[in-house]
Amino acid sequence: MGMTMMRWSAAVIAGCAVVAVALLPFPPNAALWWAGAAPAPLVAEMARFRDAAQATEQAVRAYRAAQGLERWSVGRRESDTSSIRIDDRVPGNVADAVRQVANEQWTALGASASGLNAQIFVYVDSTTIPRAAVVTGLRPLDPRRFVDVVFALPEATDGAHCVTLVRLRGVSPAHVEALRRQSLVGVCGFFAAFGMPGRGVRAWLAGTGYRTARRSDWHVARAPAVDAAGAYGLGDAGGRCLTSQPGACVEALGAADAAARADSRTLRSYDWVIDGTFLPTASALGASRGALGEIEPELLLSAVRELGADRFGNFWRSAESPAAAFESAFGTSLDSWTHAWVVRTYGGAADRPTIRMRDVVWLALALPLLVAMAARRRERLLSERLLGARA
Amino acid sequence: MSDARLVVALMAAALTFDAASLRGQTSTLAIDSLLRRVHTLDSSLIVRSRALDSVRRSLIRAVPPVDVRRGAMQVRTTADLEPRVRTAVDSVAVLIERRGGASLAARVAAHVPLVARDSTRSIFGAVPVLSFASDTSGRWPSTTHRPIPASATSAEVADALAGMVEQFALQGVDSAFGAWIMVGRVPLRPARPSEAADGYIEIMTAESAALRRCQSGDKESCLDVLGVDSLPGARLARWYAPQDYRTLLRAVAPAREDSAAVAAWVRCREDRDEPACVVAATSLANDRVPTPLSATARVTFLREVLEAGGANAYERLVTTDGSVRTRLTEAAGMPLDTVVGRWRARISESRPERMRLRPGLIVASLGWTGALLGLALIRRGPWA
Repeated sequence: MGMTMMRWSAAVIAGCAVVAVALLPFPPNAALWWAGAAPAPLVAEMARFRDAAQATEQAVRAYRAAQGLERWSVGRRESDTSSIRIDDRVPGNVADAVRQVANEQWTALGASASGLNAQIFVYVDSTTIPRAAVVTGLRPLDPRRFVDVVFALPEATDGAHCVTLVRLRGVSPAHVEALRRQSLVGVCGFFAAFGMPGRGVRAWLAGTGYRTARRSDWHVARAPAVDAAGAYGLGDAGGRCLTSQPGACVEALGAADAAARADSRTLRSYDWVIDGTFLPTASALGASRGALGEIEPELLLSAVRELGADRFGNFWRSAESPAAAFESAFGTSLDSWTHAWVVRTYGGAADRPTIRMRDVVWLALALPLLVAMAARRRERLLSERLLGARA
Repeated sequence: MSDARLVVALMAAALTFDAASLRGQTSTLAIDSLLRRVHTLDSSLIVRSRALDSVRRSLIRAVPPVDVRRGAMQVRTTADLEPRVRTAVDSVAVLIERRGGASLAARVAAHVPLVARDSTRSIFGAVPVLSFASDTSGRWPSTTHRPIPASATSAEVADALAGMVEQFALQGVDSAFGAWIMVGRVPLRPARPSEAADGYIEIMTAESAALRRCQSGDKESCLDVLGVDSLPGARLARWYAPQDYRTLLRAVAPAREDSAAVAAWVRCREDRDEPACVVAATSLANDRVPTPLSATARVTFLREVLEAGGANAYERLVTTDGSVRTRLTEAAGMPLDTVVGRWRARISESRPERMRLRPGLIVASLGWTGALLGLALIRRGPWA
């Protein structure tokens, strides 16, 4: 039985099929790292340890937030509309330096910024939380820092003020220097510049953990993402937004079902305190990392910068849904503007590969020729050209 | 008390009632409650931590029954690996004695490394390997080492153990020195030929003005690019000339907040626009300008220091207080300028040879060519 083209092809296909059946599908839990997988009892215990650590961390943050809110409320006058308040226990020279830093950032918000709905409150608290037991090697419950900055939304304060709670852990020059590297306006910058958000926008922001409004330094021009791999940080909905699927950007922003998300009845006051340093599970408000990658906190500040502060104010204070409010304020849809912004920032998605007509023509011409050549008797060809010479 | 008096008293009480004080008390109670919750959760966390340690110890201590000990080195392993591990431990113990002295011996004695059979997943199933762990006591091993093939020789096992010892050697040394060396180990083993060749290629090809000065004999520049000394001035001016900026900007980018610099950075990379490269490079914050040399170069320099210092060099390196320069000078037992000269000479000697065509490769190529040609000639069957 001679080897024919058909038999050879059949053998190759059968071989490939055997290999595919033997190997596919690849194990879904293939190790991603060269270190071996931990045994099951250890994995289970590690998961319990991780859960306990996260619960403790959240409790510490809640405790510190409640402490800060109490310090803010004590000694505050109802008529207080100052934009920056320094606690009486902060030494005079430190208070001056801190006020200067806070003033610089506040002034950058623009002339419309006022203390009607926002305030920066600075206090000193160097206390530590003792561990429940003395065990060698245990780290302190508070992460080591010079300064803690959190943003208390109006729901956590008096219903009318977004307050930046600045906890100085000491009064040395290093503590003041650390303050310079922090944003003291954050989400409260929007409340300072534009007042209280309207019902629709507020419901949307609350339902999404204010993750699109966490930065308010709109006086700074931003360049597109310098890391070409930044687009890989987009979630599924963010990817669809980048590739301009209709409605995907609104979905990625969580603006489509804002009202459904805005159920805040189960939240306690300190749940409305945003700590920008904890990204993965920042607060009970919701995951702070959304579908648009690491630039998502800059979405609304980009809108202020690009579309104008006056018109943004109309959007911010609108009672309509975010999409409707955006369209009526700016004359363009939230979906298309967000798509353009994502493309500007990350770069557009590459075109899908397509079949070119010239390739089809070449293949159509070449394939019959190759088949005809393969079908010729090799023996005759070789014997005529090579072996015939000997004869 | 009459009704009228009671009403007056109640009104007076209502007028003098301090609502803020009550709110404050309520708030304080809530804060106390939160603090109690923190303590409760912390207690639970400590219990979980102990349980995790317990599970880990129970899993690890059961595995290696054989204790191999030589000098300060003690290793736990299995019976079938014992011959190879024993030979390896012997050679590592000699290395510790010769290069480390009492300081290193004390550090090594604080650990009981473990060598055991294991397997790792590969695309075609599991591959048997030898895994290494540096500790059997703590929750997490203090150092890590890649597994090696299960068929490894005793020399390869010794190399892996020596790698661990190099990591132990840096433990307890002050953080400034640890930050300088960057790789978390003290090079006690001799350099492999490939390491030396890599070092040569890096130093000869890195685009840096300071490195070029170093190559031409400026020892101060050498110490500057090695991070031992800092010459006056900003990093960019010290380390890079304008012709190096484009290469530099492949490794680092300006902050996004500086939109003009980022635009220049894009023009520099994509259009090779030299003025744009200058704008982008000069916008970099001083602490974002990367060092011209990698950690590998520092390792080669430290190895030179230890070799120059002789038997007690490591001892002096870890027991001397002071700056990185002071430590290195004490360890070398000679001025660092002299060590730099030796290091440069060693780098020059490490120039890799050109790739040579091996005779085996020629024979294999000719053999395969002949075999395929022969098969074509002797073929008799038809294709169709």
